[in-house]
Amino acid sequence: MDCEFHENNMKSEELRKQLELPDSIELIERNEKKELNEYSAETLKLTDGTEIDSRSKKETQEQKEKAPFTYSKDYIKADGEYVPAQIKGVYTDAMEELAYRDIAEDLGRWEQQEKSYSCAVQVQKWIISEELGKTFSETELREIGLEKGLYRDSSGTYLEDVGKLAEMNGLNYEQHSNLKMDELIALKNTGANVIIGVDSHLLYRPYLDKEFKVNHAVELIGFDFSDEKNPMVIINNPGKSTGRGVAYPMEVFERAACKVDEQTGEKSVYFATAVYGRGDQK
Amino acid sequence: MTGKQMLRLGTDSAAVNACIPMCFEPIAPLISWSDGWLAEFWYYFADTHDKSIYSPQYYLAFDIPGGKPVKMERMEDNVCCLGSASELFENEYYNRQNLYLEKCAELMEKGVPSEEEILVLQELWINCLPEKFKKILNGKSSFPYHRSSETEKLVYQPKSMMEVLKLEMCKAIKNGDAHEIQRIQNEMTKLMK
Repeated sequence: MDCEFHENNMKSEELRKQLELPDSIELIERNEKKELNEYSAETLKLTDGTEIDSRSKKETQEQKEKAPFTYSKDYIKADGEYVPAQIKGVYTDAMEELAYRDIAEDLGRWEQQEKSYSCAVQVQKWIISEELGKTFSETELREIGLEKGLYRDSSGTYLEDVGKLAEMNGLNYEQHSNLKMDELIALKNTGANVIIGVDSHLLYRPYLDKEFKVNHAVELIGFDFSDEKNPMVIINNPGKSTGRGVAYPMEVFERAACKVDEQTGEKSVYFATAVYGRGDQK
Repeated sequence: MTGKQMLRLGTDSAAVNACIPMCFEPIAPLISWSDGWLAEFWYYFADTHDKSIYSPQYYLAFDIPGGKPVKMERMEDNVCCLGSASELFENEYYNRQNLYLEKCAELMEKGVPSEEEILVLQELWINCLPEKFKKILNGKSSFPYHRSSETEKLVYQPKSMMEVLKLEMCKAIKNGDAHEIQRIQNEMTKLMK
């Protein structure tokens, strides 16, 4: 038994290293009895009348057994800000599925942005450092951006310049606009690193009756479709100290990332930049 | 043109993407009349963490209902933090803004406005501004803007046609060259297809 325990421990340590999981994220065997999920009972109401119940009201035992990750509680603060669920643990068996493994691998690279306007620089930093196998600091990339006219400390990045810092470091990028959600999912499934333009006001307060305007960059690291009726979009958000591996209900993500066509009511992701690794095909 | 469509000129158009850095938000446009309708947008930064706002840094004006950008200015020299603007994170602020935009659309439908009607619109616009902006407006009808003393230097060579068009767009707007603006918009649209 001791040998088996030791062997399992070694496997876990090896998997942790492979995934480069930060210490704050637990690696969990499915048969461990861990009650990590605490869900708020609050219902979030969006301006279009959509109501989003907390996961606790919707998640069945079967779904809990299929979930690839464990999440912290999502809730609404006293000042009205929506605090999303955050990945706290990764189930080892879920790592056999590439999409979930990719998410776990991307958790380690998150860092908070250093300047008010440097979100796009920080996100590109994660991608460049990972793809080149070399650690850049945000300061280094900001200085390159300053020199090349792609970033200013007083104003940040133009939307059309998102991806150019990556390009300067030998990576290909492609900008997309007005993507349907299934197109975004397909884009992510190509293995690309995807930067999304979001409205941070709506990300943090999706009930606001505000016109969508991109003002922040986040990285889309994947989707949790383990509960098909309640899909989650998982991002790394440089703008929050708790921005690592945060999971939003699809409706909330759409509110913050999509424009709505006035005529048809159709939603489309306003802006996405796909950055490809050197070995990736576009 | 509806109120929302007017607002979208300032949030989602080729000119905005070319001339305004992504982190900036527009105030509701000041709609005015001078041989035609004009929508003036001022852009500011709001820190969603401490809810502070900064004085406007960019200006973009469009003729309406055509939606052509006609003027662009930077106001970067005296940018300052104005303090907390928690109203930006509540629906009452957006409701006031939406009401004002509806009034604008109604008036535009009627045709040539009277001076009184324009003054009423101006009052409504001031009323829907964040409180901190009302204070720096200080009784005037628009935010002061002036050409930045810093000359924009081209420090890199554009690599793509879109980059070239973006730079040309900024120049054309500053010069108020309507034909050039239209040409560039057409080129940008072709490129994006």
